[in-house]
Amino acid sequence: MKRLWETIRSPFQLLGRTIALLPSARKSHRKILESMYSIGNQSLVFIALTLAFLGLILVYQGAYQALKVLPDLTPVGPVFIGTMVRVFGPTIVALMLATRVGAGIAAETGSMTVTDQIEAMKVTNADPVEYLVVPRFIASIIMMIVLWVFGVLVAVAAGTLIGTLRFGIQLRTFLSLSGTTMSDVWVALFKCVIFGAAIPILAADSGFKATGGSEGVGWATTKAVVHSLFTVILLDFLISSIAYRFGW
Amino acid sequence: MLQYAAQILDASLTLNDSLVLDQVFLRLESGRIHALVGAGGSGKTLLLRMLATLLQPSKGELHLFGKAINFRDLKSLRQVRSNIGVQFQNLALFDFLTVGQNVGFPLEQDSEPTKDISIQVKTALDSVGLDGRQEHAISALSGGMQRRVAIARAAVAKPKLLLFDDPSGGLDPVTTSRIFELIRTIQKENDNTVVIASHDIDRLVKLCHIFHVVDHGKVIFSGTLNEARQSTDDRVKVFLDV
Amino acid sequence: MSKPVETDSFLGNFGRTFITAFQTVGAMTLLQLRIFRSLLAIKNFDYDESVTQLFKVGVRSLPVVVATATFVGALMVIASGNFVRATGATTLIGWAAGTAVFSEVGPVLIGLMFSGRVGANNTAELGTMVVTNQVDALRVLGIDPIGYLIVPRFIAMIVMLFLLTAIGDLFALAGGSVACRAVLGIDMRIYWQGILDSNLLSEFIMGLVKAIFFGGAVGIVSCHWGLQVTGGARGVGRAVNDSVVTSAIAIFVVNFFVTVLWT
Repeated sequence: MKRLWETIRSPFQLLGRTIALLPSARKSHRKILESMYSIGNQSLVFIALTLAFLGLILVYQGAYQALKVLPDLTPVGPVFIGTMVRVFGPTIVALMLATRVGAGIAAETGSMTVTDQIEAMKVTNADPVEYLVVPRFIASIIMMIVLWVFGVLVAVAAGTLIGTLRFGIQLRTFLSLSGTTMSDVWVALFKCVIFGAAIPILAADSGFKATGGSEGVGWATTKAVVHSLFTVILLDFLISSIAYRFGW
Repeated sequence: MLQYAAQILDASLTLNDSLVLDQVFLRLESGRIHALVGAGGSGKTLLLRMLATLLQPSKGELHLFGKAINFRDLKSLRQVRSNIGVQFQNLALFDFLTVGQNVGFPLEQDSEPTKDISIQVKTALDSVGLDGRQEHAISALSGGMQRRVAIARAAVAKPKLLLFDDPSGGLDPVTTSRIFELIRTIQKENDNTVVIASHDIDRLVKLCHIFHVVDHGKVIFSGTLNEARQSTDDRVKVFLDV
Repeated sequence: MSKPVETDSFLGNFGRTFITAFQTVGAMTLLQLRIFRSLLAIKNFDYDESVTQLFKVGVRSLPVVVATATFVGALMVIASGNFVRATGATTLIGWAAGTAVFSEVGPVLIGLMFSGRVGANNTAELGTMVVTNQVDALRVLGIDPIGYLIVPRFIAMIVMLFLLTAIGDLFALAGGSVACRAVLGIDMRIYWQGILDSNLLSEFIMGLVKAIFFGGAVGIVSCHWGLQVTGGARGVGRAVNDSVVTSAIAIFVVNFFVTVLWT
C-alpha cells in the first residue's frame, strides 16, 4: 500500500517542480525547439500509420453498423468526424505518444540515471529537472496539440477514402462538420494539454528511478509506458465524465 | 592547528533496509592527497558520494570546508558543490554533449562569461593531453581518453575538494601512470584536497599522504603508512600491503 | 542489421524510415518462420518454462488490463452519451457499448496495454540477456535460443492475450454499466438488456480472434527487438521503445484486416 502511494505521489512531486521551474524556461528556447523537432520527427510516420488505420476502421464499422440498424449512411461522416475530434483524436494520439515519446524519454533519462550522469549534473549544480524535464514538458504539450490536429486530418482522410469508395457516400455528405461543435474542440484541446503534460512527467519519473544497468533501463521504460497508457485512459474518463455532466 | 576540508562525524547510512555505513568517522586534512581503500562493496563509493553531498547520512553529520551541511538549504548546498569536483567510477560523461561541452559544463552552471569558459576548457584539456578534441563526441574516444576527459571536467573549476572514484580502473600501466601523475600535478598546482578511491595500492602508496581503510561500512584506519605498519589490525596490513 | 544512408534531410529521413520498416518486417517474418520450424521440430516440450512464462505474462498483467478495460468501457459509454442524449435512443446504449467493446475497442486497447506491459518487459529481458552474452552462452551449450527462449514466450503471449481479452471485455462492459448509471443517469437494466438483446456473439468471437493475432504480433515483435539489441543500457531502452511502437502499428493494421475479412 505504501508503495502504491509512493507511485502516485512521486510523479506529482516532479510535476510540481517542473511547473515551478517553468519561468526559467525562457532561456532554453533551443532545447524546447530541439525537443519539439525530435518528438515530431519520431512520431509523424507512426501517428500517420496508426491514425490512418483507425480512420479506416471507424468508418468501416460505423457504416457497416449503420447499414444494419438504420439503412441510412448520412450520419456516418458527421458522427465520425465529431467523435474523431473529441474522443478518438486526443485519446489515441495520446496513447501513441505515450508509447513513442514516453518510452523514449524514459529510456533517455533511465540510461542517464544508471550511468550516474544525473548525479554528475547534481554535483556540478545543474538541476536535472530544469535541464531535462522542463524543455520536454513544454515541447510535449505543444506537439500533442499539433499531432492531434495532424492525426485527425489523417484519420478523416483515410475514413473519407473508405466511406466514399467502399460505401459510396457522397463526399459532401461525409465531410460535414455538423457533428462537431466548438465545445468538442475545447474539450479536445484541454485533453491534449493534460495528456501532453502527463506523459513526459510519468516517463521522466520512471527514468530517474531506474536502478541497475540495462535491465533497470528496460524496466523503467516498461513502467513508463504502462503508467502513461493507464493514466491517459483514467484522465480521459475523468475529463469526459465531467465534460458530459456539464453539457460541454 | 590542522585544517580539515571535510569531516564525516559519526555518520550512518541505511539503504533499502540494510546498514551500509556504520558510525563512520572520517577526517580529511586540507591540502593532502588521501587514499580510500577497501574491498569491493565495503562502502568506499558510498563515502565518496557522501563527501560529494550526493548522499545524506541517515544519522550523524557531514562538515565541508568548516561548515556543517544542511541538506535542506539548497542555496548553501549550491555554494558548497561549486567547490567540489568528482570523477565518477563509470565516468558519467554526458553522452549527448561534445568533449568541450562536457568539460565546460561545471563552468556553465556558475554563470561565468562564455569567453572565459572556452579558455579554461582549453587549459583543462591541454593538461590532460587532449587539447584540440573539443568538438569530438564522447563515443569517438577510447576508454583511457574518456577517463582523462572525466578528470578534466572534475578539475576544471579548480575545486577545493577533488574526488576520484577508481581513476585507473581497467587501464593499461602506461595510462595509469600518466593519470596518477596528472593527479599529483593538479594537487600541486591548486593545493586542493584530493581523495582517491582505488585498488591500485602500489600507485597509491607512491602518491598519497594519508590512508583510510574501509571495511564493511566502517573506517577501521586513518593515518600515514608508518602508522599503518604499527597497526595491530591484520586487515589494515593486508589492505595496505605493509 | 545494416543501416541505410546516413542523411539528415527530411526526405532522407522519410526514405530511411521506409527502408528500415521493410528490413524490420523482413526480419520479423524470418523470425516467425524460425518459430514455426521450432514448433514443428519440438521433441520435448518445455512444460515448466511455458508455465512460468504464462504466469509471468498473464497473472502479473491482469490487474492493469482489468483496470484499463473497466475505464475503457466507461469511456465508450460516455462517448456515446451525447449521441444518445440527442436522439433519445437510450436502449441503444447497451448495444453500442457491447458492439464497440467486443469488436474493436476491447481487443485493441487491451492489446496495446498488453504490448506495453508484457511486450516491453519481454524485449527488456531478452535485450539484457543479449547484452550480457547469455544468448551466446546458450548457443555455445548447443541449445537453440529460439526453441528454448522464444517459443514458450510466443505461445504464452497468444494464450494469455486471448484470456485477458475475454476477461477484459467483461470488465469493460461492467465499467460501462456503472458509467451508464453514474454519469449518464440511465438505469443499468436498460444497459444490460440492450446488450442481451443484441446478438453479439459474432462480435465477441471476432474480438477473440483478433486477440490471438495481436498476441502473436506482440510476441514476434517484442522478441525480435529484444534479440537484436546492441549497445548496453541505452540499446535496451531503444529496443523497448521500438518494440512498443512496432506492436502498436501491427495491432492497428491487423485489426483492420481482421475486421474487413470477418464482416
